Amino acid sequence: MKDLRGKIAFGVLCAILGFIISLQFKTVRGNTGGLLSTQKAQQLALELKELRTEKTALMEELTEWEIRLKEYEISEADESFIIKNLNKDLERYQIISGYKTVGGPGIIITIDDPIQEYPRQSNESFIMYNYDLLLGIVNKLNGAGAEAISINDQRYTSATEIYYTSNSVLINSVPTIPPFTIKAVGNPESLEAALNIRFGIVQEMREMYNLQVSIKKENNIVIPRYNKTINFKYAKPSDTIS
Amino acid sequence: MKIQLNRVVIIFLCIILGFFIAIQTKNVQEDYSFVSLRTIADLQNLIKKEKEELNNISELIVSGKNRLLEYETAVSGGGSIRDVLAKEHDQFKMISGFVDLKGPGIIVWLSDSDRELYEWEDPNNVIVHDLDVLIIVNDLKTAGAEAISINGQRIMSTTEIQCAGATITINNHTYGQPFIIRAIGDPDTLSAVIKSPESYAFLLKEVYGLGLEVSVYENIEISKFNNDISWEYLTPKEGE
Repeated sequence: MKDLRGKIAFGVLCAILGFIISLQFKTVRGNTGGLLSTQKAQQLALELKELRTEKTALMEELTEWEIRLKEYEISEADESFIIKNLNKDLERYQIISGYKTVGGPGIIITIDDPIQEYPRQSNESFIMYNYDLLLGIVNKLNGAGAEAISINDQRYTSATEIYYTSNSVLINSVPTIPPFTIKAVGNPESLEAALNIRFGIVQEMREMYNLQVSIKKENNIVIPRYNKTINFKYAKPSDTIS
Repeated sequence: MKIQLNRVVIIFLCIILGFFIAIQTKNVQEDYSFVSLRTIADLQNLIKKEKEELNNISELIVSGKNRLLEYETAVSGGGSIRDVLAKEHDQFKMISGFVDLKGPGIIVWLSDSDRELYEWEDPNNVIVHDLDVLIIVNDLKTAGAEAISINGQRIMSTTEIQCAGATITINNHTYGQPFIIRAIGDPDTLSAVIKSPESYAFLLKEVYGLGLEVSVYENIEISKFNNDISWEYLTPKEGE
C-alpha cells in the first residue's frame, strides 16, 4: 500500500512538473516567437531604430512638399488681395484643427506609474487604467486657457479620443504607454496654478493614486501637428441654422 | 524489475532537469542581462506606434502632392490658384468647427436622478458631474463622432467642461441640467458605445440612477462654434 501511495504522489509531481514546463515553453514562445529573450529584444530594438529613421526621412519629405506648396501660395498672394486673405484664414483654420506645428511658452507635465518596490505583479498600469485622469488634466488645461495641447506628441484635436485597451492607451488611434508627457502652450503661471490647486486633480493623482506627476514651466514648447487626413463621412455642411 | 523501472524514471527526470539547466545557463551566458517579457511587449508597442505614424505621414505626403498637382494645373490652365485655395479654405473651415453641420447620428439626454437618496448616501451620487459629461464625450469620440455639441456648444480641442456649483460651464457658457449631447457619425457605432453594458453611460444610468436617454436620428444638426479664437501665446512653426 505504501508503495502505491508513494508511486501516485510521484506520478502527480511529474504531471505538475510537465504542466509547468509546457506552460513555460508556451509563454516564452508566445511572447518571443521561439527566440531567446535577449535576441528578440535586440531584434525589436533594431526594427524600432529603422522605423524611426524612416519616419524622419518621411517627415523631411513632407516638409519639402509643404514648402513648395507655400511658394506657390506666396507668389500668387502678391498678386491678389483675395488670395492673401484666403491664405490667412486657411492658416488660422489649420492651426485650430491642429494641422500646424505650433510653439510658445507653457508647461510640460510628466505622469508615470508609482515607483514599485517589488517587481510589478501584473502588467496593469495604474495610469493607463485610470485614463480618465488624463482626460481630466486636458480639461483643466483647457479651462485655464491652454491654446494647444499634445499627449506623448499626439496633438489633441476636437476629435481626439483617449481610449484604454489591453496593452496601451490609444490617442488619435496611436497606441501610447506611460510615462505620459503632456505639453500645453499658454500662460505658464496660470496653467501651473490651475493644476496645482489644493484638492485639485494633481493632488488627487499624487495622494490617492501615488502617481509620479511633475510640472515644469517652459518658455519654448513645440507642439507637433496632427498627422492624419480628416475626411468627414457622415457630416455635411448645413445651410439652415444660424 | 520494479527497481529497474524506478531507476529509469529517475534517470529520465534528471535528463530533463539537466536539459533545463543547460538552457537557462545558455540564456544567461549570452548576455549576462535579463530581458523581461514586459520590455519586449513595450518594444512591440513602440514599433506598432511608429508604423501607425509612418502610415499617417505617407497619407499626408500623398495629399500634399495632389494639391501641388492641382495648383500646377490651375496655373498652367491660365487661371490662378484661387479656386484650389478656396476649396482648401472651406474644407479646413468645416473640419475646425466653424461651419454648421448636419448628418446621421445620435442625441443623448443626461439629467440628474429623480430617485430618493439612501440613508447616508452622498448627494453627489444623484447629480451629473463634469467628469460624467467629459467621459461620455470621450466615448463618442472613440466611436468616431465627427462633430459633437453639448446644449448647442460645439466641442473644440480647447473646449473645457467644468463644474461651476450646480451648473457646468462649456466654452465659457454656463448650463444647468439636462444636458443634450448631439453627435454626428455612424449611428450604430455611436449608440453602441453609449448603450453597451460596459460603458460609463450604462454605469451612470443603472447604478447611479441618473437620467440617460439615447436616440438615433437620420438627420441631426450641429451648430458651428460661435466664439472668436485669438491666441496670446501660440505661434505657428513652419517646416516641422
